[in-house]
Amino acid sequence: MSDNKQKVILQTSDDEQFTVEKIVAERSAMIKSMMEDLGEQEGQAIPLPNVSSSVLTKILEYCDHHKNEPLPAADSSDADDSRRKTSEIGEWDARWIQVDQEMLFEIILAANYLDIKPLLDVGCKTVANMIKGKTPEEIRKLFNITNDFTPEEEEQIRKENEWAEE
Amino acid sequence: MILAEELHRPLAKRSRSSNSTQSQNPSGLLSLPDEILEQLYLFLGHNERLHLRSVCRALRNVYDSSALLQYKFTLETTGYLDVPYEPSSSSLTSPHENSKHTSISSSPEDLSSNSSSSIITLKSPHTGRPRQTIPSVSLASWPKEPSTLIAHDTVISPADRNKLLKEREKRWETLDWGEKRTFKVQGREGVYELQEGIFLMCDDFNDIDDDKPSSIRLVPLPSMQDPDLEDPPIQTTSHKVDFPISDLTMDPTQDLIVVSEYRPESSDAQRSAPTHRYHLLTLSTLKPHPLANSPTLDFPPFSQAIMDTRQLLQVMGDTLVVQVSRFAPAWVLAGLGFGIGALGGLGHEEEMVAWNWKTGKVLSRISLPENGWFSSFALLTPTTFLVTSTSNISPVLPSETRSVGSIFPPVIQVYSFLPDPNNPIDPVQPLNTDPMDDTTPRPVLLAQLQLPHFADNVSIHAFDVRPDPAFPPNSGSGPTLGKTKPFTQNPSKGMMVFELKVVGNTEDDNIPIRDRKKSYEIFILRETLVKYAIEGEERLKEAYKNGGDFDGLGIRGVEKNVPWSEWGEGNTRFMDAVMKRRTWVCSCSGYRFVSLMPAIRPSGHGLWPSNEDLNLDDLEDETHEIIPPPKRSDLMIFDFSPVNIRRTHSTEEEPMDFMDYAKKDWSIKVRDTPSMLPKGNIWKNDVKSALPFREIRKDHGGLANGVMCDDQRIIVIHTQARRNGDWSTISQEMSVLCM
Repeated sequence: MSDNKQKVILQTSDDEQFTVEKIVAERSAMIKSMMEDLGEQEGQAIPLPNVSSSVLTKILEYCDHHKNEPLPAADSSDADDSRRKTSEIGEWDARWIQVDQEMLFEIILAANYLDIKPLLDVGCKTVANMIKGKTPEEIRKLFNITNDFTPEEEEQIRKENEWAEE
Repeated sequence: MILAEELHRPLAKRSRSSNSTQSQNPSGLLSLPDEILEQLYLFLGHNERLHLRSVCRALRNVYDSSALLQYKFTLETTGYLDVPYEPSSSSLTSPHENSKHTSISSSPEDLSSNSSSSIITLKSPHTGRPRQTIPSVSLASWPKEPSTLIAHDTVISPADRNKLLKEREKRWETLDWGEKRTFKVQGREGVYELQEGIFLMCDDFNDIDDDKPSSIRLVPLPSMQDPDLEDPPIQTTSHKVDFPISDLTMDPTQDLIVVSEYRPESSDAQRSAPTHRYHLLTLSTLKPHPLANSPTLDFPPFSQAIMDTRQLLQVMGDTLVVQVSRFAPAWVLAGLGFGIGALGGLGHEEEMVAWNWKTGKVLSRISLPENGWFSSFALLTPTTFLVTSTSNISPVLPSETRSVGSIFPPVIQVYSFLPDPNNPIDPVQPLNTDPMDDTTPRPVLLAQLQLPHFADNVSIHAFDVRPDPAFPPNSGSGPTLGKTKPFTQNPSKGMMVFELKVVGNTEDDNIPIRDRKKSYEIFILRETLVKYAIEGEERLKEAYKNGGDFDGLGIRGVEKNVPWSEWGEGNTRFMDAVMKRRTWVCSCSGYRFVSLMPAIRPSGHGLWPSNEDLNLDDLEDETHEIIPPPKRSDLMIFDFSPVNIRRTHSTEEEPMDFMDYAKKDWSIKVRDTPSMLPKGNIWKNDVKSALPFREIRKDHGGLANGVMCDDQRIIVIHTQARRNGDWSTISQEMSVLCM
């Protein structure tokens, strides 16, 4: 168990350094494989050029909370529906991810970059829950998206949805 | 789905056809890379995906370029489910053997040592390998060129799955079959079954029980992907069992066949012999199923020795449900001075038992009320089923028999056998004769759907339901013959047919017999009934949570009585019986119902159908199933898929009229105006029913007197007996049209 107490240094895009327990950092499959590549080089910082310090702070909270859970199988395929079966988000996760939209999308991007699958799922589920029950117009308003369809395209989509919607 | 290079590409720079919003809102939803947006789509339901797709071009493009999302769209709109690919153990240990369908090794030499089977060895013209075929079933000559279609025994990408499913749906759309093969079957058919492309027949009738066969023959049928059956995944030999076969059911997705033995010996001297014993075997070996704890399950014993039985069996996942109707045989009734149709007068017993066939545990047992006709059931989910029964809410208990429809209107009852957490019962086996014993849980009535009111003195002669539910995608554990299927029909969607036979006002001699006896087919979407089951189970769970106020008949607040006016008109379609006599009953699959109609197009003797073709009443006979002679027939599909109807509506072209049809060999029409059954000597009020459907009709180009279908094929049957009444000369030609 001494292995778990090992530390690793992470360096963010804004050049801040974070010293974290290995078991916490290993939640990221990307950091885990980089550590394996680097070997036991103590004191060497792992650069994370796509993650800012504010986002990493937030994500490390998540990783720390989940550090004792088993890691997901490396080969879990995207076509596999089992991890999408429940749209429920754990109680702690739901509270933790109550952030503004900007931070939410930053977290999702970072989870993707750092390859933390359960966190990516929590992020996607959160956005999915925001979309549920809304009309296209309400979704545009929610995410500040401009409708760039031509009237013809819009008519085409309306027709398709008419028969395809349950 | 996601290419490796895409996964690791830098996220900062992204170009899209539309990035105006992105510049305003750089950290917004549209800043997410396509593969994450695809993930996001996958967390949404079908309708929500379509809403998100309608938001802007960028989101539409993500959806339209994702093969997985396209495949899921096709699954959703066709009523199919994906079957996750799981490598079988044999393919893991021996990849070379992967091209074969199963790990069952059965060479003709092995089988010829089995004295009960006679073997003819044929060689595949393509591979030269020996293949087995069944005595008295012969294949027509095979095509010269081998098929070039993709084999299904490797991982198939979502894009290819989507293509296969769309192609299949397209063939159904115009009844444009891709392959056709013809089989000949000699002899009298007994029990038969069609599931998952395996046709089952029983024969070798023994001398003691004239109507009980003792041999099982399995005939794997050709499909688009395997039209020439290079490697049938099952033993295609005739297999003799050492007991008379009373009935059976099979689930190839679990390699399971449940064979009912009639009146077996009692295994325990202290107890009466069971009515039936169910043998749980594998289809591939016809030996005890490895997942069944006990190789047999026993139905409760007879209460009266003279009784005969009729039974229905269904499997869904781990659940096996059997319904047995016990009745006095015709010779007993005749001896007592009753006519043969007079079952209602004498009374009979009906009982259902549900087991977990793997553990052998009894899940529930119920004795059904006496109806005057044979009840029939269908599983809706692994814990709920429907029964065609008589209303238990009749105001009085009159002297009339229970079959009088105006007093005891027929109902569709929905039950659940979800266990009561407050009152766990560990059933004692074998089951006692007494259906009210306290050692078995009873199912709880969730809902009762009433049919329209009948006129006075109308009596109900039959109220049946079919088909069995489709098999849920296999969980991946245990043997299966369906592992190579990429997708399967959703068991909670599709269409169900209820057959209703009534006789109105028999006293009045002025009404011609034709107007007194009526047969109807009532079409109802399975999802309508599943919804009543699921909502009812929610009420039941709530009631159990509150302590389960059990009042002897049910649980307070759970049962819901739904009058016809509340559910009927929009959810049903009544039709006069489409085919009077059905030699083959496997006539529906998914949303489709197949039947034969007298051919419309000229066949040398003029354009219009002759009177003789249209009049099917003349052979009506209550006691005998007469095989109607083969006629020139059109194939007719009723397609109740709500999606297909809406799509046909939105893309409708000029409607075809009858004369167009006489020139073309197929037609398609949406029927969405309500049908009306006028009030009179059958119905108390006008009965309106408006469930829409599409009618697809195609000239089959041959003579036929029977038809079956499953999700991948239509089987047209041409049966002829050379001499009337001599069953041994019957020959059946089965044309398999692969979809």
